[in-house]
Amino acid sequence: MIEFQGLSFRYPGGGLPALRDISLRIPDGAVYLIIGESGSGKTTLAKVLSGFLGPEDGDMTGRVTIDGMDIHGVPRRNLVDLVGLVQQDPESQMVTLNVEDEVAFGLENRGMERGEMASRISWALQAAGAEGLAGRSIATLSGGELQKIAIASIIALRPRVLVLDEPTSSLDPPSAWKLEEVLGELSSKGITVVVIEHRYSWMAHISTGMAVLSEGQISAVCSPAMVERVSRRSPPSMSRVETPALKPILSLDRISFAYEGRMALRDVSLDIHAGEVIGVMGDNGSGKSTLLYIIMGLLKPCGGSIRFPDGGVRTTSLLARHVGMVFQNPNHQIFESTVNEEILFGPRNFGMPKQEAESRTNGMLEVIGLRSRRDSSPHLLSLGEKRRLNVGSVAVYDPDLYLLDEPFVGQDPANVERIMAIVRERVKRGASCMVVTHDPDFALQTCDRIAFLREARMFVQGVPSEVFSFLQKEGEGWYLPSGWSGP
Amino acid sequence: MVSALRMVRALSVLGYVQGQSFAHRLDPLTKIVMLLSLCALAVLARSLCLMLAGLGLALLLLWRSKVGLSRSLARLRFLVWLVAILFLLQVLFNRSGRPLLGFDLHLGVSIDFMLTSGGLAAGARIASRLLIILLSSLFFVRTTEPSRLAYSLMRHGVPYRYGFMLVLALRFIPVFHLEANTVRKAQLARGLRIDAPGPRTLVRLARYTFMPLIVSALGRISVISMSMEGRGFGLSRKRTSLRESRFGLPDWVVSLASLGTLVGVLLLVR
Repeated sequence: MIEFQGLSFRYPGGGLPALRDISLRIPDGAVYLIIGESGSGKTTLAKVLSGFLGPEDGDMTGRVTIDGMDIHGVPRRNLVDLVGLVQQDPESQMVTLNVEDEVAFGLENRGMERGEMASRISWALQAAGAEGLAGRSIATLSGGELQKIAIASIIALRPRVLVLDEPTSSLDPPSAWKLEEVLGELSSKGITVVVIEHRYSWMAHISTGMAVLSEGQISAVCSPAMVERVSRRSPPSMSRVETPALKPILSLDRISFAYEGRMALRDVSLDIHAGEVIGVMGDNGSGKSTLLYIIMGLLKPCGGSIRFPDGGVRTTSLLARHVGMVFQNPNHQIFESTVNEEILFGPRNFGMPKQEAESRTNGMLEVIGLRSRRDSSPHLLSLGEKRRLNVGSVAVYDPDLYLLDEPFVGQDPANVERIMAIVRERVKRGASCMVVTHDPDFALQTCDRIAFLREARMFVQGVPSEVFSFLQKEGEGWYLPSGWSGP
Repeated sequence: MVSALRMVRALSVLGYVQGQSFAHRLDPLTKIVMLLSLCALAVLARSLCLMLAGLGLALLLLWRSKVGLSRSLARLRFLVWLVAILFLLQVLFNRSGRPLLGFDLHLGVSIDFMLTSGGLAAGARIASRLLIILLSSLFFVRTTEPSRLAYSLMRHGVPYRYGFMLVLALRFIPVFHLEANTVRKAQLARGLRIDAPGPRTLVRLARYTFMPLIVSALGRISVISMSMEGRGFGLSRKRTSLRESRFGLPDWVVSLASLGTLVGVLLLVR
């Protein structure tokens, strides 16, 4: 049994406590969900529970016990048998170069004999649904496969508690549903599973309870029946822009692209119209990001063409002025030392007059709600604020087309809505947007059309109701929005 | 993930090639001994015949290990051209030894060239020396799995904390290469002109490249250290290994033969 007894935690340097008076009991073998908005203290709770944050890392009161043992009474490295944490980014957690070495890492540290180690690795890979990955190099694994290896490498140590921090944030729906099976299986083997999530409908069937965190406090505790009910509730409506579709601003005609001989896109055709939001969906590795890179002119297709209404050709630097792209990782496109300079970066590069650039920057700081942080370092912003900064630093020069590559990973619904409000306002004025997403609810509520890629080809495209009906017919249940029963 | 695959493929051009040849099965430490012996031969030997024999041996090793000799050399054509140019410079401008052939070249001004036995021998020595080092390094890299190298070093006494520094470096080099590519794409997407490189642009470019990469690296350090600590890294002084020690008879024979041959030829026929 996990027991939080009046736990509070404040990071050094003052500020509000990240956790306040948490009291909660999680029974053995449970699959327990912890949800809440960004900044509500979920990751801090996961780190405290797994012993990575304790009294020496900040101002902590109360205690956390597992089977009666205070986990902060022993050094972290001695907790390996008790609790394991799978962090948000599975790729960064990998320490070795291939699958067996990765799963063996913890066992080798414990000094386990080779024979026992081999059988433990085989068990862990099987329990994590990753037995087919044995012998593979880490660098060749997909996001879903990496997640399975991250789990296998922790459960190989047979901890009594497994904590997962947003395990599905980068996974496509099929991988998320497969993870549900794996966690259910682990729970049946007596391992207590604690999952921190924004998207949790995939876990509703196996969840035995849920706590909602709000501003560091538990605001609600739900029974399994309530979890199922809450997960079925329709997501908040994000009204679409009711703008009639205008002429295409660009057309992709049978575009193909290959990375070192491997086809990443094959004969993909798509018209992009002014005033529409297109959701780009598909499995991990199906070519979604590649499609955006090609439209942006960052990759040259090996077949097909991109046609503009005037029949002209656009260089990357010319495209950059009219097409704004937001990349997957917010840190990869933050270049300046203050928020203000970061917004000014684009207008300056495009040679906008100084006064106009500054006036646009001031306006944009207001729109994205970062006016009070204008002189702060962008790297000190929260993940949600960074995402707004990324979108603002593109929207400030008013591109005709917005390309958003999975911009909502790790974002709570309130921040997603705030970002989409910025984009929607531009779309209302005639801009277009392509957004890569794994979230069918978001696609149904927000997009005018969906382009669904599968194995580098355009699998289906059309208005959301048509696309989801088609996916339903094809037996792709995991890609359907919550409560979908037809158009 | 497609990009990761692309990266892996790109690295494999000069990296490890999977195989089951005799060379692949040797312990990495044995191949380090072979590599050092061949390089020592290249640097210390004076006899041209000895160098050509070393070059032949390096070629033979690469050919027998079936790692795509011609494809590897094609990828290294820059270095092969460099060796060819150094050879030509010696042949054309080194006038030591017996004259073999002389001619004038009129390129506005008249330049007289003299081919000499000394020039030819010096050119051949320099070319052989560089090619032995190049080919033996290629043999080592193409037949040695990086993680096997790290684990072998740890088995042979390198403290595992240092051994894992090598493993982590090997693990993250392609990751950072990929990230650098993404950052370059983000720069282009936001209108940073990198096609007219002046000193100011270069400074900006470096700043706008290193800043995002450093931030990303710092984030990864925190994740990786938690990942290692969470799995008991440093828990005990003694650490077991999943990989079996394979420094067997063939390794002893090849290592001793490499060292013996090196010492022998250098003492007797240098």
